[in-house]
Amino acid sequence: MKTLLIIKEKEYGWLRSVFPARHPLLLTICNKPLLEYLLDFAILCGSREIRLLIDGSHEDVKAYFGDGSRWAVKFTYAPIREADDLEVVLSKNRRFCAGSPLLIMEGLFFLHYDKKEDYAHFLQTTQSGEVLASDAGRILLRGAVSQCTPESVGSPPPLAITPVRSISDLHRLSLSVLSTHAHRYVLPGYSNEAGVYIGRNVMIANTVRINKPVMIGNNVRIHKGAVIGPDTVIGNNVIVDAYSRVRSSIVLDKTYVGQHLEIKRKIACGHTLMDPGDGTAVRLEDAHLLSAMTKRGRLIRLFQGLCHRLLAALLWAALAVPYAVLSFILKRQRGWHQDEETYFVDSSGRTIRLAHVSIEPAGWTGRLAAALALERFPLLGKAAWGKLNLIGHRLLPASEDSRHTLRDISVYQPGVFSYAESDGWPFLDLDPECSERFHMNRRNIGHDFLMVVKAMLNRMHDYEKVMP
Amino acid sequence: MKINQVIANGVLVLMLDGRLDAKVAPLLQERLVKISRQGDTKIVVDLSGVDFLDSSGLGVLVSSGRQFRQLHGDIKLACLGHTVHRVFDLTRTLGLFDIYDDPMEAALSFHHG
Repeated sequence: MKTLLIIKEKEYGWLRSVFPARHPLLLTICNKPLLEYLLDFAILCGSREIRLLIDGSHEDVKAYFGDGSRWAVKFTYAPIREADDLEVVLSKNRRFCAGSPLLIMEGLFFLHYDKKEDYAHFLQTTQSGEVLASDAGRILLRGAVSQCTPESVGSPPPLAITPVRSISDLHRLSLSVLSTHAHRYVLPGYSNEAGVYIGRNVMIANTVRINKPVMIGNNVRIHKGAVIGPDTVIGNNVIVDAYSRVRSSIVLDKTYVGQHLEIKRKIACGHTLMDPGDGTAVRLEDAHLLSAMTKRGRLIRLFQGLCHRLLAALLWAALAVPYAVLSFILKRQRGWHQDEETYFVDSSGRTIRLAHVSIEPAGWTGRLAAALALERFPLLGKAAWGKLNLIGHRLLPASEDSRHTLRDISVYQPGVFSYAESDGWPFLDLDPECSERFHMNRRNIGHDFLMVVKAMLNRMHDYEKVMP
Repeated sequence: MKINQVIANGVLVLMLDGRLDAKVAPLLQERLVKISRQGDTKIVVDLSGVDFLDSSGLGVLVSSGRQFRQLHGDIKLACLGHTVHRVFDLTRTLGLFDIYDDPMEAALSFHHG
């Protein structure tokens, strides 16, 4: 059997305005894309060749599903146009459709099924035609020869379509799958007790309280005193900071939940908080927090600035000799490249010219120089003069692309080192923006010092085979 | 690049083979202009043999498609390989064409529409 998934932009266009940063078809129900539920069902029905037909861009969807080898199926993509009816779509895909019964799923909907049921047998005993239909979409069977005998016909397995037309639908579906129907689907994460699913790279402080049912995605940190659940889905790359409570809510990917917050019956996505009850969305003024940013006193900020400068000067002094020796050797070996580049230096878009050094980490001298982060040495001088922080946001080159990123950061404070690289290990996949949001909210001189040390240790870890 | 042509279901099918880049795009354009002058404004371009497509090749297909439609015809595309499909997708030009996985079916569709 083969499957055609036909989904037109007009069916999911509304999701683009609600979640502009992600492809609507990759929007998740319990941390699993909506489209993947349809794919799973097609596989349960015995399909080994599945084709997705959409009238928009395929790129993001392709990046996730690839060629389908992760599901041991052949997953292909083909374009359609908005005006194409089913017959035109079939004619455009005649080669694909030939030679095998065809399961067609048309529309964007959530499909209720049960992974323990035998849908392949059910379809073998079903006549060609409409299997299931609602105003949100339909499931059709074409070219099937029913092997129906009186004894083979039993009660049909559970199968129902639920439309996804609002954030209220998304919220309700996610929580109903998590709390009631989780056993019916293959859900992501590790589960050693009913109602609790935990993904990879999850750090939960020992004072955190988890009230099931709860689903936690990959690369998640939950800090001390937080209370998660019941009825809560935490996405991938999320940080829930200390003493926050999240219940009956969905926290979507790449979201940072600040300290001492209570999120109840909401969908949190980046810096937007949505109420599934009435559909209202609040885009928080501060682009990197779901909590208020604490404004520190002028004296404290002055003191922190001085400490940054002092630490930068100390580091500069410590690295001066290795820099002089290794840069000299590497320049002779053509493993040291230096030029100048313009970077943004604050949120207003002011720029600064900085030395941009790249080291080829070939040979032990190159690896040693890279492990000691000597390419940052010229920047340390700028930090000692107070033109740059010692640690802060990643340096953004002054380009149009970066300007978009800059707009999303309310207080941009670039550093010689970035918080994201401090977090680069062992949380390899933690989203850099999310990590920076977290640390910017917690910065104090002790914290910054530790993060600089960690950034340096991470460098050494990356180039640990530094000895000749 | 080789350009072969056959008649399928009464419709002219151009079968391209090789790289469709800046070097050969003018040749394709010339061929398509010649075809339209002969009165054939409903054609199928079979891209199964095209292993590389750049902006000039894409430009020829898009502009010729527009011209053919102005003459109440169309260019339908068939058998886009992975690389070619990606170029169309990235440039958001997929929606400008009817795309088939079988050139014969594409030719037949002119009789239905």
